[in-house]
Amino acid sequence: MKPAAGLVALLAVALGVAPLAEAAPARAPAPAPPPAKPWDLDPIRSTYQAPRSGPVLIRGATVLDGRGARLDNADVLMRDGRIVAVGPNLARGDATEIDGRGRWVTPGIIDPHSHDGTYVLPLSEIDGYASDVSEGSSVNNADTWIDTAINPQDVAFSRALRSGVTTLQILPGSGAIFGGHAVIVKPVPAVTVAAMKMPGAPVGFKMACGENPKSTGGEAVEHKDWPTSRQGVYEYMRAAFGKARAALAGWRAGHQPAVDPKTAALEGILAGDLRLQFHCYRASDMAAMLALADEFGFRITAFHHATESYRVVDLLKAHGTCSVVWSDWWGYKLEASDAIRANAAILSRAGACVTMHSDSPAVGQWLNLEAAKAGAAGRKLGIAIPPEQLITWITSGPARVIGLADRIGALAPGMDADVVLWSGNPFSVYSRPEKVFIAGATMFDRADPSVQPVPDFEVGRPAYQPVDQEVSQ
Amino acid sequence: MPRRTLAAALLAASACTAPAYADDFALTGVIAWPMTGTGPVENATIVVRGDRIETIRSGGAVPAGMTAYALPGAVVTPGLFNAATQIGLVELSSDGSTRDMTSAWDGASSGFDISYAVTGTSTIVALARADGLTGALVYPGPSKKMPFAGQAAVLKLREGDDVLDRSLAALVTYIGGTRWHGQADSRAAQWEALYALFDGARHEHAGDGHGGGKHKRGHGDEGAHEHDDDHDHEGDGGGGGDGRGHFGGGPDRLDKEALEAVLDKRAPLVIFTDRESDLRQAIAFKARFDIAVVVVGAAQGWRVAPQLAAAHIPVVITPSQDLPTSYDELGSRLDNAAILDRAGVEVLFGQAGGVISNTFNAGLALRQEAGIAVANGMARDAALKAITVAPRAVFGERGEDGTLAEGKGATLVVWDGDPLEPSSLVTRMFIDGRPVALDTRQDLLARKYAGK
Repeated sequence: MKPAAGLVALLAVALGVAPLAEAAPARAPAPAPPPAKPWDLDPIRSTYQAPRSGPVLIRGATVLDGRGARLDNADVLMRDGRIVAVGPNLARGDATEIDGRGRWVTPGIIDPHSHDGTYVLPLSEIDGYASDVSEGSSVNNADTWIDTAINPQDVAFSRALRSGVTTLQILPGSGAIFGGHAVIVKPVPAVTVAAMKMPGAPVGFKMACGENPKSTGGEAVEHKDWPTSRQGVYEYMRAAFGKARAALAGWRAGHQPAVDPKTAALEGILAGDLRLQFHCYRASDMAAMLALADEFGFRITAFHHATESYRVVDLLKAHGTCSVVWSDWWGYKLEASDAIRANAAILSRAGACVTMHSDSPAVGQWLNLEAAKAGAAGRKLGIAIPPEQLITWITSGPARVIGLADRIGALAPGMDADVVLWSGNPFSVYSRPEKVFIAGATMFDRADPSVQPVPDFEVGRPAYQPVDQEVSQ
Repeated sequence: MPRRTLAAALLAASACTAPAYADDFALTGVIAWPMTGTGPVENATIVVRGDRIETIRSGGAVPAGMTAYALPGAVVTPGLFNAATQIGLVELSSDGSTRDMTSAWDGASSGFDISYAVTGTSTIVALARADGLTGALVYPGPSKKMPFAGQAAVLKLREGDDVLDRSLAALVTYIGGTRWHGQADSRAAQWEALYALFDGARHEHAGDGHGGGKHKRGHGDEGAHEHDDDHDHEGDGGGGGDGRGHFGGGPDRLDKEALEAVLDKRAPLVIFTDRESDLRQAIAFKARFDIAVVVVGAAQGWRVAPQLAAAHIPVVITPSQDLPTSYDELGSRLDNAAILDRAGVEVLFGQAGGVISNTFNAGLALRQEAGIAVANGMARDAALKAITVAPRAVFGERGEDGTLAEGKGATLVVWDGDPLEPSSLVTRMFIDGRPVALDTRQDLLARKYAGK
């Protein structure tokens, strides 16, 4: 990406000189003030308005609070977008009461790894060679912001919502070494991503190791500077962070900020402002990336996919790095050959941070079953994981990965009222979300078609309309 | 005939982490789901002699002197059957040397027979079996010459390399907007090609007098040729060769034999297709040639459910499919299975869990799909039939009809819960009366690292 002319203007203002490159128009608007930090370059500001609702009380349900507690026959009170209280025999006051008997209540599910809005079904032919999942012109796309590409009309968002998902982290793909900036959204009907984007949420940043980034280089021989081996990828990362380290030191010493947004993003990683979400499968690759992080003094927030985390549990714990995993995907590529279903259970028993994820609009509808299957693999090993702990793998765990553990992912006073009322135990295949709340407002209601958002994609399409049997005979 | 060989005894004794079972044994106190239409049998005693179920009765007596294993409350089902998967045809998707589902050879299209490539020596097969799968229909991908992909095969997931149960279990074709990239993008051409090839084969076949029907293979070629008895196996060039009946006949002969098998109703035509208009075409095609047709996919099947039922076209569907993965799959919905079943269509499940799990978790994903179908309105019994009785009725598995009943094969799975719950585990398994080792590579790796 070429630096925009606007950046030249910003630089000129920062230096206190008039722009030299072109004659300014007579009444040009004042240029925006320079960003406080060189890496604060997201052009999209959130316009998200939390949905509003009167107070709601769910009465007499089995409650999993997302932080490890289970309360039987308990109530959940929501008001003004927040959880007010969780416990038995809560006073109703002016709240609308919902019968929770026989039902379970959990925090809204959080998917920390989605490509919804960029991997949009049905894929077009263009997606075959120019996909919004990842920028393909470089192995360093650190300057890109995935929110600038999100299509809110993706039907996957409505599918996620009705499956109990209330927050998603959408990431760039893994073909590049430096993927770019992530975004955290609520799956609400919207016409712009700004209206879905959680205000004030920490910014995630995607990197990748292992087979994918090196094969990008291997398949593009015309790009001599794209590494084709793990060792080449490692040195590429090292050189980029070295440049960023110097730029960061310079900026902190009062010198001019980097004009290169790719370097600026890496400064943000070094400064600890960007939460690093790192696609890695193999234990040896994870260990190498942790060594790189140690060399430059930055933190890897989470390894994603991390199919071999079970081999390096202590190393991950020592670094405080989470593993964001599947229950059972394995075998389709060499670095996934040693995946085991008991991965999450082994990590959990050792006290290491682990969460589920989807990386798929299909799996993203069944995250409750992902946790169930991963828990069952633990049971097979003699590791008992009760429902109140399993739920953390899809609620408070991913909240922690995306840096929002103080706002979402738990049913506790003051937390955002993102809540799912399930027809039964959420880990049973037979259970369905009956109601899905965001900020205490019912955004999906299984029993009320008027509260079942229909994506524009389906509007007016005959294939989504009922069949007139008499006509079709 | 019971297979009480020394090898079997050694096999049983060497399953070091599974209990050793006597050749004849009984399970007691179980909840049996026999799939015979009479509902579950509570507190069941299942008596196994050799490779057969001798009796299955509530509170039944254990024959004198027979070893009995008390498994109170355990659910026992027949072995499950995945009606559309590719296990045994690949080990690592990203490595072409292990992939055998398609071929660049343009010598045969309908004649492409993937059963020659099937292997049971596979971590994928072992994992599927340990998840309760004992039968599968494996299918080829699109070949070099549309419209046919080639021939599907039925597998029986016994231990060891030889898992082939029946070759030429079906002739597979793909019809649709995204199926044949670079060849005949118009589905009209795909249908026209099907019509032309079948017309030609029917015309020639009538003149042939049924000579040289294809010899079906399976399980060491020692099994019964139950469908081939009416045919001599001379083929075109005199006898000998491998007995396929086409020695010296060339690739064209391979193609024609597959078509003849369908015309003679020795095998169904399996059409992978999703769109309503193509489902209508499939119904018309079946009527025109009076053949057996099965549809895999049928994402828009709910739109023509009564018509599919009236045409007696079974469908192999993926209940969890609710995204518009292609334009042919617009309208995909979670209650597709329920609507089809209520309309009287014979519903089977396959292509379970998406592209990865369809092959790599063929047993676990199949169970989850069945559970999702029930969660979205399908009758529970119909969902169980879809993974036991129905696929065997449609595709056939030697000596196995997917039920637990007196005189039937002792292929059964013991569960620690409801098999439709993806969190349930297989605790014991028997194929033809023999215990199956359940430890997979994943189990061994997990145990190795769990202590750390």
